[in-house]
Amino acid sequence: MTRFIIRRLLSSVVVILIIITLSLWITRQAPSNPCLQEREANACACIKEHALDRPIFPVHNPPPLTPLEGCQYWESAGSLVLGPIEVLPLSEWSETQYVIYVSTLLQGSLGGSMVTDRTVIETLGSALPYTIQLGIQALLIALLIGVPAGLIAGLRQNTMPDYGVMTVAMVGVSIPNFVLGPLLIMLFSLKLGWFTAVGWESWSDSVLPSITLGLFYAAYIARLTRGGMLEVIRKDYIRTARAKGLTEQIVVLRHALKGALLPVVSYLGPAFAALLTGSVVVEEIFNLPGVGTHFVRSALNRDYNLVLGTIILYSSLLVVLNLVVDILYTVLDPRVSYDD
Amino acid sequence: MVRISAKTMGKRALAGALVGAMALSVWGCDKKQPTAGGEGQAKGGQAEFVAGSEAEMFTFAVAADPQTLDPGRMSGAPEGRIAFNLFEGLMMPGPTTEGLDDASELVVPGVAESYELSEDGRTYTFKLREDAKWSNGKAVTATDFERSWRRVLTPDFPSDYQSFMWVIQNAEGFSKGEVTDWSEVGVKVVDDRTLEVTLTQPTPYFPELVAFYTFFPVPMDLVEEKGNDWTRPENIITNGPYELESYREQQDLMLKKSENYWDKANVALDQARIRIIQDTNAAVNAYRTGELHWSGTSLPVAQITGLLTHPDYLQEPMLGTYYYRINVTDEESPLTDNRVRQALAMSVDSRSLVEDTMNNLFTVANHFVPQGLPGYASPGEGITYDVARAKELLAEAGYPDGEGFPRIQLLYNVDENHKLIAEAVQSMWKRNLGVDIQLVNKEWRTYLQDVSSMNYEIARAGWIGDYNDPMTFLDMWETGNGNNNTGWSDEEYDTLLNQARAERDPAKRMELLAQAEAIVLERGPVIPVYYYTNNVLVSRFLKGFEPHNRDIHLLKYMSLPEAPAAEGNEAAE
Repeated sequence: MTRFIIRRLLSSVVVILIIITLSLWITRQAPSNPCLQEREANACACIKEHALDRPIFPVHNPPPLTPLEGCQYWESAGSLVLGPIEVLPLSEWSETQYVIYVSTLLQGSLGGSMVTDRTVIETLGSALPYTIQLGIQALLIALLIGVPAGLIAGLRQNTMPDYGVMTVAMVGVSIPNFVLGPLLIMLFSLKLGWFTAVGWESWSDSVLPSITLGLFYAAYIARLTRGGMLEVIRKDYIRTARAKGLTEQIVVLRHALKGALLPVVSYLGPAFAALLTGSVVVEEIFNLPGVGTHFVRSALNRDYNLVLGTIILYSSLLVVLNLVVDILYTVLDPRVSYDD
Repeated sequence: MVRISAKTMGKRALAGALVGAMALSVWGCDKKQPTAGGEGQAKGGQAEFVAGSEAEMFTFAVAADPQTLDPGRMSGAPEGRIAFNLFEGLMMPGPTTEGLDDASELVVPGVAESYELSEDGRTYTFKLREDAKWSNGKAVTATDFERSWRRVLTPDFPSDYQSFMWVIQNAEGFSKGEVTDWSEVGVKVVDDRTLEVTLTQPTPYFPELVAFYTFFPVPMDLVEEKGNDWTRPENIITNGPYELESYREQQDLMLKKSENYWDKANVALDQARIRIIQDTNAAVNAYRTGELHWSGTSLPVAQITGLLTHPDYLQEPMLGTYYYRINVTDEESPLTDNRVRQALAMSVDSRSLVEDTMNNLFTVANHFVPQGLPGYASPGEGITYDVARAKELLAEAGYPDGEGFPRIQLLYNVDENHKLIAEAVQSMWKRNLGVDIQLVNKEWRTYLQDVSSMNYEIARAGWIGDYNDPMTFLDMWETGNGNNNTGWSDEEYDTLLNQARAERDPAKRMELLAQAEAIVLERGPVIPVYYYTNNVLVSRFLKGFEPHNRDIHLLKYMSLPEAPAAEGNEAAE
């Protein structure tokens, strides 16, 4: 198991490095740049400060921005150019955007934002706790609603409770959170005054966003649990358990549930990752200080460093979460083993 | 991969905001009980919410995190709003711009208690007050200003508004590295309390310029010691009425009254909380739930319609114009022909755009320079809606009834308002001239790139004046100005502006500027659409909040009488 974990971690580093390389290249291909303003601005100083006039890679196409007269205006060297590939002399490698960025990473920094005065670590560090708390709460809501609902539906297949739960689940999956969020705000904030409409000052402010975010997953988990239960309940070992004279409660909770939840568990990793990355809209509606908002804004602002920082953060989270799910799998299903 | 996901999410967020806006505007309409006046509405249940009733202190919103708190480097509206309360320049903006006939009334003394202007109108001698202090208790001296201005003018210093200082003698040369000796620049420290500034040419709006944040002093010793970290809450030293207590990204900034401020006796609000609320729908929600005293930013059109009769709703005129700019560099394009540009401009019914499309939230623009600038009268009627004449002009240019007119593109950045206007203009041109245009919408940064590299035919634009003088609207059309972005150039126009710059007589100067504006309207690359207004919600209990055409509202002038929540719906002013 230890060897498995080490191997996975090592391969993760390679994966993340590939992601960084690709992302860095892609961000530079997007039209415009972080230094361009609506008014004639001192783009020159900004571009020099962030080395945006330098080649991207040691193996390169032309630099993305070419200076024009007087360093006042800058124009793109054109988007994607796939011409003859030129390798820079070794002495110039340290001047490329990629090498500068990777060496910043090696120093344990994600660089500074290209738009604000703050560092990327500072910005993401202040936002991450909110996003994680929101994600965990939403996941808890999803599990607390989804699993019991799925169980009931699975055990009472083709009865009224089954149809009822599945109809609600269908509705839950269908309502997008940008509809649900404003509806909840209208009802619970503006009409009833129970919760604040925007911001995150105390725990109660996270209730509506968590529900908005969690309900979709609750509905999905309900469907997964139902499906798992229907499959397991017909298995031989359940029949054996019943034959042994165990009570229905013990059969369901101790034997069937474990197997029925396997699809749910394997869904948890991606679901949590999706909750973290997918909270963008909810963060926007409720004006929460989370990572998602930074990601969208940094992409729109072409704040390359913040975009890359967020990508690194998200991809690291994904890698770790998938690893945790794999480990959790061995606990739930004894047939799965990663030992050589 | 990155861009696609960001774009998709952006779209989702936008869609969400739209649905939210629609839902809430319906909500707003449901609540509306039209009555005659504000008071009746307040009593009649329209004021179902009390501004700020849920806030612990005076609270308002800004639309984004400040990119920096360094006045020399900042350029956006949220930053400015914070800077005007944390820092103080030689002069400061006054509480209002309404009803002022004399430009000199626009600003009031700040760190400088007075100034003298030389006979030739080029040398300002500012007398600094003795009790002006930094928040650490040290005196603010003329040297502080000189060092701060020198910093902004340093070549390669990333200041977006560095060019504002170019009116000072040799300042432009210094910032471009052509003048290396600072003593040649027209900023002289006579003594601790006296600063002498020599300008290249008479600049009547210079007092308003020094009331702008790029000219504010920064604590240079601290800046040299800490670099860009000097603006962190734990380091920052300011000289304005307020100090920065804390800053939480995407959440809020807390300000408290400075004990060392020279005029602290007249500062009524002890504390203020500036909340960062990026989505305007969320700002309205926060206002409705009593978390804000002032919505801070202009509200979304969809939401305003439900709030138009609310006693807290305020419409301020703004010094800004929404217009279409025309690229005249493509020789193949009919847009290089002035008759075509005139025909297009004359067939846009801006009254209908404002009244029908924009619900009267803005004002009709016939000129490029907005109305109400002290001492300035716009030339003639400006561009008027005249379909018959427009058709004639188009026919003269060789396109009778639009025949043979190529399909041109109209570029705008993604936004509901821009889309509504563009669609309306598209149908007007089709109906009035038989001209087909294709709408192209692009995301903000791509739009910027296209405009700055002149990769467009017609593009929407907005211009908010930086100071109360027509020059801020006119110098952008000068040959070679970085904001021109249309390729338009006119010798007569450039000459008029230069004459205005050298003119000592204010009335003659304004006359020259009006002649210049007439040229822009007659043969320029501009189709004015409307003048901006600022549509906000402000607690009717807040005192000292008056209309300001540059949306500058200093907390210093405001006060909030006790317990507005308790008086609730009864008291309406």
